Amino acid sequence: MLALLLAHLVAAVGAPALVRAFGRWALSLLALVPGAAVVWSLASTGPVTGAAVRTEVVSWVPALGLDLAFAMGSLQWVMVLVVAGIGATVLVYSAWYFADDETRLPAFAGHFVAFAGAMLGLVLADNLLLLYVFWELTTVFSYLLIGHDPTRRASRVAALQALVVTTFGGLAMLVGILVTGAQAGTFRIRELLAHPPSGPAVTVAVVLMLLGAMSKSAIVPFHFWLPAAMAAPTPVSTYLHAASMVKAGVYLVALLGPGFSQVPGWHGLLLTLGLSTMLLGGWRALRQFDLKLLLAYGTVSQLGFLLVVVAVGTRAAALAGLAMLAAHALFKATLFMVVGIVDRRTGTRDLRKLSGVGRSAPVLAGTALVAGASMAGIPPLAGFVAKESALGALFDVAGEGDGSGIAGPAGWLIVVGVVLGSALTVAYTSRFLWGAFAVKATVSRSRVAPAPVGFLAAPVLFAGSSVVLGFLGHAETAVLMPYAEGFRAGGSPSELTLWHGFGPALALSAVSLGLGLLLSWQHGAVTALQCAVIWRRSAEHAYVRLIHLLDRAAVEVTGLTQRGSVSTYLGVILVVVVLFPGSAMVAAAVDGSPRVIPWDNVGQVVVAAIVVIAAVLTVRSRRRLKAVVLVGVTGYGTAMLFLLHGAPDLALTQVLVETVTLVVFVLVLRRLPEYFSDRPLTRGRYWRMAIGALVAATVSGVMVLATGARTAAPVSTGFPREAVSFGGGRNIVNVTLVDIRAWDTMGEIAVLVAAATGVASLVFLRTRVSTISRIQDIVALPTGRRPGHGRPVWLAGGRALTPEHRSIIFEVVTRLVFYPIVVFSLYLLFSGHNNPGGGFAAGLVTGLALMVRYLAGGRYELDEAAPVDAGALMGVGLCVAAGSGLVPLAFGGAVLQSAVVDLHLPVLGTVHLVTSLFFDVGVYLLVVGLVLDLLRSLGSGIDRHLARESAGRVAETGETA
Amino acid sequence: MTRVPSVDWVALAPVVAPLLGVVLVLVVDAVAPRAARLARVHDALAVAGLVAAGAAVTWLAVDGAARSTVCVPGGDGEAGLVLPSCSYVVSDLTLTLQAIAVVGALGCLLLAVDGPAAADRTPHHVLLLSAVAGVAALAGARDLATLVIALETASLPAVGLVALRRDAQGAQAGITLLLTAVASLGLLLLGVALIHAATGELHLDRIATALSGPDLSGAVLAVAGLGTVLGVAGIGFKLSAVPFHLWTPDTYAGAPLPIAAFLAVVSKTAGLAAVVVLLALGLPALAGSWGLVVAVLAAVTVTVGNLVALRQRVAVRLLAWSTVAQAGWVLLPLGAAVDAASVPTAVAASVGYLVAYAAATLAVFTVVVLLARHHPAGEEHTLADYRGLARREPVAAAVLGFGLACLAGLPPGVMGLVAKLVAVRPLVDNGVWVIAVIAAVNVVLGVLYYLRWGALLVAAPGAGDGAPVTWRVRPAEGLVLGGAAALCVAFSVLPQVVAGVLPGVLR
Repeated sequence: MLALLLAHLVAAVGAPALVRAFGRWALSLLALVPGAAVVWSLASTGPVTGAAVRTEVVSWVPALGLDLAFAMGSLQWVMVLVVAGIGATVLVYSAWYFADDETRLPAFAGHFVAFAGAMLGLVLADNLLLLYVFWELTTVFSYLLIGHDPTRRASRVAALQALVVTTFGGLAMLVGILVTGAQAGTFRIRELLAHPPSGPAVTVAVVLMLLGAMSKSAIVPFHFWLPAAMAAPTPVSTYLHAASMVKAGVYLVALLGPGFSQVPGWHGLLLTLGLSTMLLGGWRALRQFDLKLLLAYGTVSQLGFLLVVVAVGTRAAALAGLAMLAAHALFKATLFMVVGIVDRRTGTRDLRKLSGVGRSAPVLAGTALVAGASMAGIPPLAGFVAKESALGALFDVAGEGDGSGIAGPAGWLIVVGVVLGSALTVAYTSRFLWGAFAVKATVSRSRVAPAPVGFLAAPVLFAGSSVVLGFLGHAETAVLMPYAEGFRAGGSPSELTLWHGFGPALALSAVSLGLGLLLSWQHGAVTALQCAVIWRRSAEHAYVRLIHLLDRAAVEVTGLTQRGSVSTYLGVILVVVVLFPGSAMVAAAVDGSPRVIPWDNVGQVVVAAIVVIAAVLTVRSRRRLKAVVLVGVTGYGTAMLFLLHGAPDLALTQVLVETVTLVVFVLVLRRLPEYFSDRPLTRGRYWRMAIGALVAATVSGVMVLATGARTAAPVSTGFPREAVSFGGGRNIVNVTLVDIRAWDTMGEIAVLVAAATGVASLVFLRTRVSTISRIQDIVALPTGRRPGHGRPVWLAGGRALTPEHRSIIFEVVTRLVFYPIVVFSLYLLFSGHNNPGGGFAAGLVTGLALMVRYLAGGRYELDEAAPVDAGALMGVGLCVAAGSGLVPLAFGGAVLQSAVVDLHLPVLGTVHLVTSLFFDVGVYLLVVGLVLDLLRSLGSGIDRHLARESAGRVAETGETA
Repeated sequence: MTRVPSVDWVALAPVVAPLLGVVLVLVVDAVAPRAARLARVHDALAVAGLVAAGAAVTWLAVDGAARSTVCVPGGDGEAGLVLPSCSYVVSDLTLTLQAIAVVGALGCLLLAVDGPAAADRTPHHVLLLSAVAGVAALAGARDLATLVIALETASLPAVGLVALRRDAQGAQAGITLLLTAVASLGLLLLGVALIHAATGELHLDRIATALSGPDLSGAVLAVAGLGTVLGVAGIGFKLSAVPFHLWTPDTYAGAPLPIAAFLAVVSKTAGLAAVVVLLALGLPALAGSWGLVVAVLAAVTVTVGNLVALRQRVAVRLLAWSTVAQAGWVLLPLGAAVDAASVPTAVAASVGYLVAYAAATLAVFTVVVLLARHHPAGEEHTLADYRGLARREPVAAAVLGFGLACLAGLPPGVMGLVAKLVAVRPLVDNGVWVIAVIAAVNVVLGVLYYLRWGALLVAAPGAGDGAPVTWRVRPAEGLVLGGAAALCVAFSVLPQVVAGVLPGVLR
């Protein structure tokens, strides 16, 4: 069986090439592949009749219980014959149907064979998951086939509709399959049927699977897609919408019937909807003018009927159901092919425009008549045999239950419904035959081009089969019985035959035939009634509305979530932080409220209050500068808190960092508007304040909780002792930085360099501003003199400034304090190991000194003060740090290990030198480089921008003047 | 006072190889800056770096030896014998994640070399390779510090890559990504710090042991739980899980397309690697609590991602939202973890899903890149521009259609179907029904927009379309197209690869 499927796959892949090479006749060649499946199936007739099941299993995805398991029993035997037989025939028919210049023929051939293969796989699959795979494959390929020549928008929409509806049905089915499989522990269909699971979960699962089946078989309320899909070329409609794909749903119901027909909901769902479909389809068919649409609605109706018969679940009904399935495939395929020929030979399918086709094409008309008679259930055709058996079986069900459990009123309702449906069938059959072939007095005779024999061969063959099958009731019974035996035997004997004798079944057949003829005789009244009763709210509307609602919801969600503003995004993230970790924190805090010491001394309360007030004022300020200064206050307050807690070194570092930050802020603010917003403040800021406060509360709470949960002694209690014994210094912070956690520092300074480089290039969208411009490079000063001339000044660079930007006092003071500050920073650097200070603090102090030079004398003064490239400085710093870390290796030590050397120098006396000092020097250089970089990019760089802009403005005004 | 632990360079080869590539590219650039004729040398070096990494992964997988490196020795601790712990471990999990990252990055690199990003070749290649090295390190990371550093190494270069498109939109995309990245890093650091505070350990296996002890105080557990939640939130950003996803559409639309693909494939791998390493290896004892968090996160992510994707018209925006939804799918199985015993299956399902997702996404992105290059609207082209693609470019359309089917989990994309089944199974097995139902609903939503897109491919071209441009597919692009398609087909024919990607034991 796998070989057959692979053959289909190969043929599908090769089909386009074949068609390109041999033209449309290659289709006949391709028909050999499904033909082989027919031959194989016929060859298995013997074993199948003997209730043997051919199986084949190849392991595929063992992790999921998904294997390539195939089985063929008598149900599959019928389905293979229908699927492959009609597939092969339609391929031959297509060779006649299409013109040679049909550009999409290669693709059509490939899709068609692929579809046939998928369908074959579907009916042979013995694993529910595998069945699902083939199920969706048929959906996809059917879409490709329907979309074969969509020239109109309407047909595209229809094709998509069919795709979406059947796919969703398939997905529902998949869920059902998964639940069933989980309950039963296997996906193998034969095992499932042998030991069907039960319980509420299985009930839901079965209903879901039935949803899939009904959507595929176009049962109410999914029926609307089938007629809409009739935009496809006729061979496609013949195959997909008459013979194979729409039968998949019926097949699934038939397949599951033996195991699950007693599941609650099975009968209620299938019989109600099946019957409604039968009646609705028939009713709609009666008002169609397009022959193909008439047949399409007829198919909807017949599918409903098939579903009812198959779903009842008695042995007789099962037998009748399969017979009906085969008969329907034969007559519906014939009729569709006839419509195709009529369409091709007359140029229309509108029954209001056709007249006298029967006279011009008697063979065609005869073929259609035979098939139509089979559809209407007229003896001695296959359709009659099946329908009479079905009616008999249903009559028994209504009367005695026959093991189905639906005896009584429900059963009778079904019988009445089916009889009515059959009557409608008779009526639309006669409408079809009359419309296609009759001579209409008011319409001019249609011109019919003669059809070649080959074109007619396929429908004639099928019509003939309908006749032959009518007489083969006994053989048919024998081969179908193994399937029917899966159901409990009923009271009445079940056998397919032309003559059941006089009985209720024959009576019901006669009644429906009579009613149908009455309906077609009184077609005027029927039309009037059709016009009177129109459902405004169809299922299609519901579908369109549902999709529309989904899209609407999508738009709403998009509008809600996609604001395009970064601050909103961050706000959302912070809200989530407050909601989830925050609530977890509150819950944990309530559980075991941690002990909190409010304060150590009152000074802390005062400082904290100041910080809080500054914070509140910050968020309320409209001026940027004010906000920046107030933020600075919070920072200095934090430094005070450190100091009050007894950490002067931390406090020093914090103050320095705060100062540098403040200056950098101010430098940047030159380029920004004075106010945050010129418009009145929105209410949004209160939200932001609230979020900010909540986040702060959350983080603080987490901190309190985490420290409160301490069970071990803090690692830092050992630091004071170890700092001296291992690091040789009494400043714990510094020893921690350069020794205990030297690796961390190493990483941090490396990141700092990378970040500084990155930020500089991000701000200016190009590489670092690296040119050093000394005062000597200037050609003309604002005063008009050349540099180097004139009397000595306090700050050389200051001369590059325009006089109104200079402050002599500031320049003098700068000149006086610069070197003391630098010396102080060096002191901090060298004494940092034992006293407050260290490389980081020292670097910041030097940086501040440079900052003062810049502020007093402008960018030239900065370059005079530090005529080095910031990047180079940082690089050197990193190298020094890394190098000093590696040196101990040469002496057999570990990386970053420090040694203590006490030297006696003549002037300085005893020097207590710890080798980690060199590491600290590296840090120092790096920090100086960083500050320099900030000053260059945010100070000098912005200066240059401003100068260029004002020069441009001057030039502009000059021109206009 | 610190010793250099001995290093097994073979084990680290997948991390080191891309870094070597970085060094070589930089050296070439330093020797001959801005030499246009050396452009191909840059490309070749970068590709070689990734290929070498791929070869290393393959060799380690074939070799099969259990390797680990950068270890601290065990010994007799206070609570009994302590096993040695390693910062980097080579396991099936490590190698699988590395393989996804390397293959995905190779695809993105090949797509980029002929694209607009190629103008900034050196930074582009350097950043891309650094990020790959970060992901590779992340996959093997087995301590908190390595985890965080590797994750940032994987993330920050992405910001640079996004900003390489040197215009306002690129800068905006870069800033958005940077700010959210930093915010998330803050969360992650806080979380990791809390976990460390609660256990006193850095190595994940020791953390796992510490947290599975019988006599843990409620306060410690609460701190660890808080740390876990914050950590998941921090990593959620990498995976672009809702509500940390907001950067995704803007960034995808602002970045060059191959970089968007990189974010979709490699960065997602990084995110999953981080989640799996942190949660499954470090915190299996807390599976009961993080399982729920991840489940909710995943459910919200798939739903929002799918709902918004429904109405997207611009192809790359749709893809951005679809990757949000897919991230939810990747996380979903982890949401099924209810106790330590259920973690390995969940992880296997997640990683399996990631394999399928990465292959399909790469295939789809390749076609989108190709169309963008041949379309006047460029990267802003809409879905309508795919109308009738099957008639003009049947091969590309087939690859795109198949990729979409895989993403939707719809046959013939069996790979995607199996991945979805694998992802849902832990939920069903562990009885997390609510999430399972949400997942099922989301399959439907997802199928709807993938179908709409796929259906356009075979539709007849509209009246207003101009004369179609014949595509000129460059060799590198053709390679990616063919490779991605081959992967999708291979995994669809042999879906067991996806379903059984990891054995039951996690290391």
